[in-house]
Amino acid sequence: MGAVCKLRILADELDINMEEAKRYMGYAKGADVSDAEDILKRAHDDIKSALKPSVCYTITFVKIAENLVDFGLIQMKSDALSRNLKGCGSAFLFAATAGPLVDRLIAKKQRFSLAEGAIYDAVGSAAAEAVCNEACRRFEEMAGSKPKPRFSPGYGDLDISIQPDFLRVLDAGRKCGITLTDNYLMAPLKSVTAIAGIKSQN
Amino acid sequence: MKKDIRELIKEKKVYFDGGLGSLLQARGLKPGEYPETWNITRPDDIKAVHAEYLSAGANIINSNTFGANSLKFTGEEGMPGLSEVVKAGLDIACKAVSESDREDAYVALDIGPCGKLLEPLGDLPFEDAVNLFSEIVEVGKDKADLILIETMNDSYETKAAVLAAKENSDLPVFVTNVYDENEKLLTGAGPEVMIAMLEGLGVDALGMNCSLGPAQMEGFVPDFVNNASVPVIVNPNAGLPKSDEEGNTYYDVDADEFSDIMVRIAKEGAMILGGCCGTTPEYIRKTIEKTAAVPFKLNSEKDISVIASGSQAVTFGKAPVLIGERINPTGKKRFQQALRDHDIDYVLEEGIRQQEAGAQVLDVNVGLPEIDEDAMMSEVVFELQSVSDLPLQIDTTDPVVMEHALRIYNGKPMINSVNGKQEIMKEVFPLAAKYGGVVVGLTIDEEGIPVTAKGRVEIARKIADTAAEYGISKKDLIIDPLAMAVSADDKSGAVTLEAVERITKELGLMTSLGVSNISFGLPARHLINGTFFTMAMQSGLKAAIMNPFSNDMMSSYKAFLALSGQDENCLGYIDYVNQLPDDKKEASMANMASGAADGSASSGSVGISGAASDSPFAPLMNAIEKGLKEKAGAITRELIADNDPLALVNEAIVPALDVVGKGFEEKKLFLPQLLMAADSATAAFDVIKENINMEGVDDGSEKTKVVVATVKGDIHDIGKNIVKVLLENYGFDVIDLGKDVPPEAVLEAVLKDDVPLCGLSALMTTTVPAMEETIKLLHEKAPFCKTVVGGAVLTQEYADMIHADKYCKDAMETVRYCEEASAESKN
Repeated sequence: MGAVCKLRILADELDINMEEAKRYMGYAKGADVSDAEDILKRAHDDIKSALKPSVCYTITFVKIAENLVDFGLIQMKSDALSRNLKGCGSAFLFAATAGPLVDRLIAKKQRFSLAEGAIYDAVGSAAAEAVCNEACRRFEEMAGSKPKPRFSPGYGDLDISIQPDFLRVLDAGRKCGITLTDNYLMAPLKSVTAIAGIKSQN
Repeated sequence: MKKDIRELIKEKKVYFDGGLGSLLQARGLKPGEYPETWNITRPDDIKAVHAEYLSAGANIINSNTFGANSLKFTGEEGMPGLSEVVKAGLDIACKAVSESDREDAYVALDIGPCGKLLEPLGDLPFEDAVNLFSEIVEVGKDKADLILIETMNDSYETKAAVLAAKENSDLPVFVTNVYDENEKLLTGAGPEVMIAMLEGLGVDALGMNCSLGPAQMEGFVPDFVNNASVPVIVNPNAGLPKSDEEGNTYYDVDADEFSDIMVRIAKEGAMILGGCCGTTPEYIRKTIEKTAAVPFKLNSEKDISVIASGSQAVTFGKAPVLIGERINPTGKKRFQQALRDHDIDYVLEEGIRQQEAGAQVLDVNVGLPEIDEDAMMSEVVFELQSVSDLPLQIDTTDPVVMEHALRIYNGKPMINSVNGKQEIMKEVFPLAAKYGGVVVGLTIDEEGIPVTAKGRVEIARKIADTAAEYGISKKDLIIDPLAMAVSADDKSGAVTLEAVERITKELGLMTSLGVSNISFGLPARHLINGTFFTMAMQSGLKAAIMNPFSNDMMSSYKAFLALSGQDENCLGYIDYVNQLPDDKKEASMANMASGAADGSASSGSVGISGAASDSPFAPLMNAIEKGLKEKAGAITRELIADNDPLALVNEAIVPALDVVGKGFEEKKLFLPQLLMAADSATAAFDVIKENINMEGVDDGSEKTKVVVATVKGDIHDIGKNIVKVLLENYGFDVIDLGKDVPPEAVLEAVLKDDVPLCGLSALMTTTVPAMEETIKLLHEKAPFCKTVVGGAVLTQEYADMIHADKYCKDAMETVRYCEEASAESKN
């Protein structure tokens, strides 16, 4: 397992996918959002200015024995993950966050307006996704091939109780300011830990 | 005898050591392994690294205790205990220093972040953080020469660590924070904010470390040197970490480049230098060699009066600072009611509205005889800081309340107030000296308020002299020479203005006034207030406690800035005037409201409900259905004059909401639309509440009570809040227990009022067991209460598994269920 490195990603480089945000809000595809146009725009702009993307990652080998996936310094037990990483010789383990100011902004909006609270929350989630997407795009450049769809603790049978070890191995507290609550909830909330497998060349 | 390092940093450049992690990795430390465990398992390796730094010339060796805290080092499951790790770490560092035979080498007790985010962003309460850090200080203080608090990326956590250091030791305290490329901490503070807070808390040196390389830090150094009065520390990384082909870490700035930039940093005036991640003894040696020729320069005492929140600083001395006065129950019935009802949201909204109207600081006064001012003050300060970036002015006469508020305050506040009475100064100045703050001093003493300006100047002088005895300098003092009603004494305006001028000129102190007192007892008070404010500013006033919703006050202020050459190209003034009709004027708000209402009605637009356009309620229904919050509030304000409030609720608000609710259930409308309608209905309800007593809306029938809570362990509660507001809009009496609620507290609330319905929300799989436990407890001890569950993680299967009475997939379904259950329970 190699070094833990940081990606330099600036908020300006990111596109928050508002279609995705609308989906989080419960809008059906193609729904008329004309009555919420202003607030959606405001939410997008406000979240973007609160956004402080931060990503730390490491590249590691992958060894799979049935449902046990071995990354060297951390092992994870999961059928779903071992299926996801089938054929991968290496993987990026990473932690990404939209930063605490996004959380703060959402909390403030939730305090005074249900609608704005829900909308900002959804846009905040889309912002965290945008950080992850940019990270995976950079991983693709580094690896020379597209990573597998990323897989996070909490997906399928990969229990989120892996989070403390996952974050510790990535030194995510020091590198990105990502911490855990007593219930394995990440703080900042708009944070993601994930594994992005890289297919072996041959 | 070794010199106190506080003396040394005033005489010469001082050097920290460099990175530890990469050196230990070279010796076999694995990623993810805690370096502090090596204090016990491989002390010789740690000592060898310290020795390398000492022979490179470093003055300060950081003990290998960066990540040591009792959350990690529990003394259980094979982990050593905190005290074992910290003691060993300091022993090793001390040994290395004594073996080096250096007279100018010191051991710093190294304290890093505790690994948890503090409330409100995370789940660690502030005082728990103070306790965590206190444990470390308690164990380490006897062996250390100083305490280094480093790599902190949250101002609030930094404050907790500094308080712990100060309260448990007399050691010098140095602090470095992590800044990003935009010169901000993760939680938003820049150097100005951190300097204000840290110097207020009395640290001995401050600066930055980690995350950035020397090149990026170089540009920030002047912001530290020019704002700080204490010596500045710069400990950069060796650039950015990279991974070579074999997967080994390296940093992209080598020792030569690093030390070259450190020379420039020293020339800028940073006199305490060292390294962080990726730096090695070679980096430090070269830095020391090359900077030797840079002459020592003591950082000068800055005459800057500044206060700060956790992210924003406000400086006094230039344009007068506007302090919003509205968070204060005096003479405000609705505000008093909010305090009695523990309606924190109302208080916060007063804060946000003042901020939007142009206030730069918010005064916070929540003193009311029948409430617990201590608890309320701390809660309001904490909650206000989680929604507003403005610095606060803590306004109380009770020193106990004051201290608790100063403690949990994030930043450096204003303190309102002391006066010339010895007894008061004796109580308040020690608090200001400990926690930091700009103190307001009123010119009143044991003899009362002097009728002459001269008398008030004398009291101001006495206050300043006494403050100095406590180490509080003039820059952290602002005198209020008291505006008294001109209706009672026709000289009082002139006396106050003269006092403002003389205190400014003769004493070199700043002044502040509660401006509107001047007009007490006169008609058309706004005329007097606005004019007096202008005169006071012209006399040198530096701050005003005022009503930012007052057009006259704001107009005087903006015009004064334009006329006194403090508003470039009058842009501020023009912006202000352009905004006036939209949202600044109370009067224009009313005009807007009637315009809007007429507009809707005359255009004959028919809402989704098809409410007859000739019905007087049609515009309100339309506004709610379309989610126009401001409009709904404004129209209600119009309608309430001529209509029965109950009719408004039953014939307009609830039916309109119901139309939207049905649309949502039929999937014609989506969640944001439902929520916007709910917000609008709430705005309408708020107007009704303002205009009559809450009881007045009661139609006589008993409201069904519902307890709602997010279960223990869950700290995010958006879903629960949506359910709460919708239920309230549908006429339920909702008892909201908040988030992270233990099962026993839910039971207690249910039993207290025989509540027939309880809504529980959970976001995460890990908290479903807490939900199950709560339901079990309710079924046992309060079988009359039906439980309804929901939340991101919940499904019908889960709900069945934990024996909930009902699972609802969304808020509307919860409302419908509660309606049914309520009808049943009444029959």
